[in-house]
Amino acid sequence: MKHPPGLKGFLLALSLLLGLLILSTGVGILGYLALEVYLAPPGWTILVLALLVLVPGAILIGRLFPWLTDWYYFLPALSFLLVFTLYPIALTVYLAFTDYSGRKNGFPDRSTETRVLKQEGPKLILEEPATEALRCNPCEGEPVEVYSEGHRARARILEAEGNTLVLDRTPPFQAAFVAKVNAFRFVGLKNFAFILSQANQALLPVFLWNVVFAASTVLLNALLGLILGLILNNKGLKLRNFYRTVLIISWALPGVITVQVFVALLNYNFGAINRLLGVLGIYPIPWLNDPDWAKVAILLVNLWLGFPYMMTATLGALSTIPDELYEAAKVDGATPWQALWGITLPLLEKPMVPILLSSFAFNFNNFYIIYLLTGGGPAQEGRLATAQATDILISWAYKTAFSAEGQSAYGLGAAISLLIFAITVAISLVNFRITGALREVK
Amino acid sequence: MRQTLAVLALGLSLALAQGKITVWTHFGGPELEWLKAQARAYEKTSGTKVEVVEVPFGDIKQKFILGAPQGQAADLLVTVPHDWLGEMARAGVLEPMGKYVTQSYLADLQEVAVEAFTFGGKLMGLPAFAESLALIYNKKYVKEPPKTWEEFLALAKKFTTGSTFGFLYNIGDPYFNFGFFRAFGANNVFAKDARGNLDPSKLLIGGEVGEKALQFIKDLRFKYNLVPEGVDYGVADGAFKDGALAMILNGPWALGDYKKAKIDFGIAPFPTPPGAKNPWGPFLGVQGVAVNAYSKNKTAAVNFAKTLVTGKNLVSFNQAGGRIPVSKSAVKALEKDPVVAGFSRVFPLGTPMPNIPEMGKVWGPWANAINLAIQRPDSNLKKIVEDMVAEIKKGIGR
Repeated sequence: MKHPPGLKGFLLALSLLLGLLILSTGVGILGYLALEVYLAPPGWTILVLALLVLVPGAILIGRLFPWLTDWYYFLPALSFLLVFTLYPIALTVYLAFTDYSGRKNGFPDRSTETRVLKQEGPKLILEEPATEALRCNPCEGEPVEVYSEGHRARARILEAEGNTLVLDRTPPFQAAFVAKVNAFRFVGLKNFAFILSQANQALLPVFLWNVVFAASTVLLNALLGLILGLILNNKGLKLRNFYRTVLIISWALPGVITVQVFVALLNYNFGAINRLLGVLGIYPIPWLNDPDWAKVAILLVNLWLGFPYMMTATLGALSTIPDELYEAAKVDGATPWQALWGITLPLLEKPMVPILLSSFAFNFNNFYIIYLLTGGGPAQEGRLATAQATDILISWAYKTAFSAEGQSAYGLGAAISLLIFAITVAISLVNFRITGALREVK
Repeated sequence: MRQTLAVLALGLSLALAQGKITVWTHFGGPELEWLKAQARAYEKTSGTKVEVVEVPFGDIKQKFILGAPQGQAADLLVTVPHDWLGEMARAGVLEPMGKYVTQSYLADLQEVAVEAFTFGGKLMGLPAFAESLALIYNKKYVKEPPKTWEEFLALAKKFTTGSTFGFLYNIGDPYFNFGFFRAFGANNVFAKDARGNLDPSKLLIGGEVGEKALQFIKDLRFKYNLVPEGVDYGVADGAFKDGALAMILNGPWALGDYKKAKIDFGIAPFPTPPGAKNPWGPFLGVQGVAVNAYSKNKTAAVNFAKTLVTGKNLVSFNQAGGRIPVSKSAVKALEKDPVVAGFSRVFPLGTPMPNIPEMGKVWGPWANAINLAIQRPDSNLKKIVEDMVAEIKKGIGR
């Protein structure tokens, strides 16, 4: 059989390979879970079991579709894609519709650990009354884990009366302890409803600032980068390479460190910048303490971090403009100003637009500068504690999932991430449509 | 062939790891040295290797809850504050310790420590030391600790000059401000129900109490001009270490550094704020060691945990850093220590921090409200408190 042509063949090959990988991983994990009840297998059992399916499976599929064997070179890359890209995405989508959190994480609650005195089939005699020890009322239907050294098994409670607990299956070993499982459940669209119910205090203002932040960052950085690039491109400039090196330093320094240095520099009473302004006779500026000034501070620090990238991009784009054009312009009697507006800027547009667009997309989710510089703060009246003056969507999601709500509202955080994903896709589509960048690339 | 080798190597490294326990700690400086010395001593007597890993305090809970079920967390935590226990225990990552300890061990512990470390009727860790905030003063400036608000204010104003400060503290953090909420009428964050358990539906820090407390905190900045903008924990702590600060609200964890900086300090309760009906009283925190329920080497981890909290070792721990042990025999041995004596006068004023998981939904909005109140002199406290209560209620009700 020959390789099916075009997109159809590509998709067929990809789905065959992905199917094989998912099947073998699934067998590995299920096999491990099945074994876990009887003995305590080490974690790499999953890998061994998966390989036991993967290798014969690959040979079998290779017999059925001989053209597919070339595609086997893709297997390592595909398995990485599966583990590090597709799996987290699928998990995020899944979690967004559950109430998964640190407390409801599907693991047994050790504070309900109760000793099992006697076991007769699915009937357990506990040390204490079941409803109190397992903190469940009613207990019927609640999932529990029974375990002893090296063994564990999950079951559901059928009946709980006094110290007696009847499970829906018989543990295949002598149980020593039983504990209630913190099950998480599907909650449908409840997470999204919760987010939208607070739209005025969080979603809308955060979204607005997010757009303003990304757009002004790109504009400011591009403007400064363009001006410096044009100046540095002037062959008549002495010490050109020296300036270029100096200007690129802020890009070369790790941002994680410089941003934290800026936090100290921008301190209201004790920072070097306000001291300097004080020497010049200017009142101290509440850089990080005022909701509006904090936004300015973020834009300025991001300018310091980002302009060398734009400058380098400009220099690169400038070097592709042939000198003949300028010579011709000179012959025709154009002033340098006219050459700039007539030749340089129009020719820069084409290479720069994709860079600006990708820079916008990057800054739209530029988590680390917000997190390190202001932590989303300062507080702003009428807003949630997770969505303060300089929070952008992604830092809001982070704070919701990891720092508020008992540090672990993963379901809610996943729902916010999905919303951000939808917003980012929408903005990118609009961007591409307006600028026609996608068409030109084709 | 190569595959079998890799599998063999993996198995071998796992087998070797059996004789090893990992300890996550947030200790630093002399306290970290103390822990490492304990680890080395334990290695010698037991033959189990102990690896001490430093993890930032703020990261421990989340990393542990996520990592423990996957086998990617430490066997032992040194130490966790008791207010994390409810959440960690419900997440199922803590090993209940009741079956490992003896009655005589429990009898040597202060009751409040056992109570703080009990969640759902089970002992979830071994308490080691207690802590609370107190007014720490530099004896270079303050000879006698202020007994009344007027004395305090006079002292604080006297030393607030261009180069020195009278009184600074981490003004934006609710933990550092709870004492004022308590003074203005909030016994704790939540009220207790009929059975003596904290009831998350009864919030005490809102309403008039919250407004009065926020007004006082705001006055510290804008009326008394003591705590200017830009002051956070680092600034206050650094100023005290440099000897440029007369009085600070801080806890026992900072004392090791103050000793190292050769500051001659004393410890006293903060005076009752003006117009408050109760005395100032801080959050009482108990910290202790906790064992990973998923540990592959539980026996060794438990044994090492037990050696860490013996009365004798807690005395040497106190000498390293200055924390106040909860073991009765250790406190007795340290009776003459001015720090232990000073804090034992502050502890009775305080109340244990809630250890129910709902507290996690209070900190964020609470901090937000405090920061809003001190942002501008004309901040609308009534609205700030209302918003805070609404956000907390919404979070808890979810």
